Amino acid sequence: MRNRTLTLVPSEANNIREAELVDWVRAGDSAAFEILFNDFYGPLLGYASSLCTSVEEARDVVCDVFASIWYGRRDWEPRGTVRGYFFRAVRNRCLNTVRDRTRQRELWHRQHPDDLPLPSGSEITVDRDLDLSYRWEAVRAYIEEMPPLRREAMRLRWIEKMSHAEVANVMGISVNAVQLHISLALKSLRSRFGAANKK
Amino acid sequence: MSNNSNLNDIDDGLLDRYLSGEVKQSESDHVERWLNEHDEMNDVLAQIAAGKMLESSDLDYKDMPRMMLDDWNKVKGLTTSSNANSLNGAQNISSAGQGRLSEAQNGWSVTRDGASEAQKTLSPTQNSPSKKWLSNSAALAVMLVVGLVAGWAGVHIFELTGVGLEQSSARTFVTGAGERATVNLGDGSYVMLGPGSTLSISSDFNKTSRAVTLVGNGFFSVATQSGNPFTVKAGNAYLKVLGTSFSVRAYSDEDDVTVVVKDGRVSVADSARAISSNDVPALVASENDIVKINRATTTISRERVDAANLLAWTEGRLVFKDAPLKNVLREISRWHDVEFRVIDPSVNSIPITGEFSNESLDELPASLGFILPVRVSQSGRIFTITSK
Repeated sequence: MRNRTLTLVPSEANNIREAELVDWVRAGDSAAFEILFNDFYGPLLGYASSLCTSVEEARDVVCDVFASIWYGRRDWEPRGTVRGYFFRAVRNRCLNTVRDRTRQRELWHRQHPDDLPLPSGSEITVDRDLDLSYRWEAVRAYIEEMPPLRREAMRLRWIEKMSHAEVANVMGISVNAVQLHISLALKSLRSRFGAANKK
Repeated sequence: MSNNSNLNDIDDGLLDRYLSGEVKQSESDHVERWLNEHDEMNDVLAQIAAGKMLESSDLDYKDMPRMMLDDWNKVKGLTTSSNANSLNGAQNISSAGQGRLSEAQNGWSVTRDGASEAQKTLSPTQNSPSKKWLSNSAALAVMLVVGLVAGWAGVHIFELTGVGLEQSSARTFVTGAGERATVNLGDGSYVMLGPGSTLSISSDFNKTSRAVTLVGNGFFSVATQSGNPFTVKAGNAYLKVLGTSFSVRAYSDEDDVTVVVKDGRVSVADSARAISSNDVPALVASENDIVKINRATTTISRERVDAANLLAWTEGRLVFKDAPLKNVLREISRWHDVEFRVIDPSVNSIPITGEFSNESLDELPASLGFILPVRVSQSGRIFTITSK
């Protein structure tokens, strides 16, 4: 079931500004377009790099998204927030790029049963005296073994600070599914790292 | 140890909202008490929030400004293949090569400090980032620092002179984080652009009108031309001047557009109509006035200030007076092309007074740790601030 809730934006001011920028871009204002580029490039590249197989591929995707908006600017009417539009566009393009190469099919299997237990074999000894870079590698590896959709939801939610509805909108899943992803992510993090300090 | 049993079973929903910054202060305190009891989780969540766990490990934030510049040029290249659809002015600015403010056709001449060299002087020394993450407050406090001073070295200066404005298209100049630029407009006026700013010059500049559009921070020195007023559009602010100098600050992530007048008189209004007709009286600001226009409400207010402090950036200094830490960090990150990640939002509102000039950015973590109840760790160009 697709959730139709309108996405939330951080503030009304942002909303007004974005609508204004979109109007300017539609009218062919390259400065307004560059503002959008400057605003969204970093977050979009971070997001794309988490979906694509390399940073170079992620950069291509982000550039393509912007170039195609400029091409079609006269008819550009982003639904919902501009941010949601950009993230959806980057997501679709990443998935298409990745799908084109069949070796990534498994990664983006949409029917991934997310409520399966985490893969075992990622036993990590979290010892504060261990070499730190090694330790972070291990934490990273643990997180990388989580299902891709779960990591994606975590990223949009905690790094981009999107509302549940906005994450759902970008990922094309229901708000309930977003909440489930987040809660499963927290559960596995807590089961691994959430032990209270021993005094 | 805690005597609060709730600490042991903190709600997932609350933790989620905390990580997304959607919590009230009381909830935030509650989560932080819990995190204090769970060091491991605290560290892991801080790493996730700092964007170090969910991105491609090949993504290096140090390279972000360079990639952004390259990719902007690439987007312009992609769109210039069809003339009808090309980005305005794109050919002129990108054709000459690397920099956005690089030399272009038709009489624009540019001298620039080597960006890469300037970059070098800015780059903090590379130590193992993960080791720095754990530097504790004691270690930082040992480094005795007098005052809170951040570096200025490495700000790029681009000088554009000999502007020939004969083209039919509008011109756009862009500075990235850590860059400054001075744009000579060819009519005796010039604009000093702060970091992260965009200046667009109308295609008929100096013929029938003198109109520019600004995003970001710019200091304008406008030469008088009778009968040919100079207008600036910045956010929802419209300015009209004859001969004067003033600064306009219109960063898109700030609530207000502000105008500070150094000398002369500046008319400010919230619509193009108000500024061009004489029916609607615009607000006229003079020396040492600051005018603020709220982006959302378009409320206009005027106050008296010491313009010298607010314009210190044009001389290479940043002066803060009771500014919230959040704003100070935002300004430093613009000027020095670094990023601050504040894990504990409660420190954002701590007021800071001080002047930042001519000192290495490397000392910033220690300086902040010295005067504030925070712990600052550095990883490349990213500073992560946690409460002690």
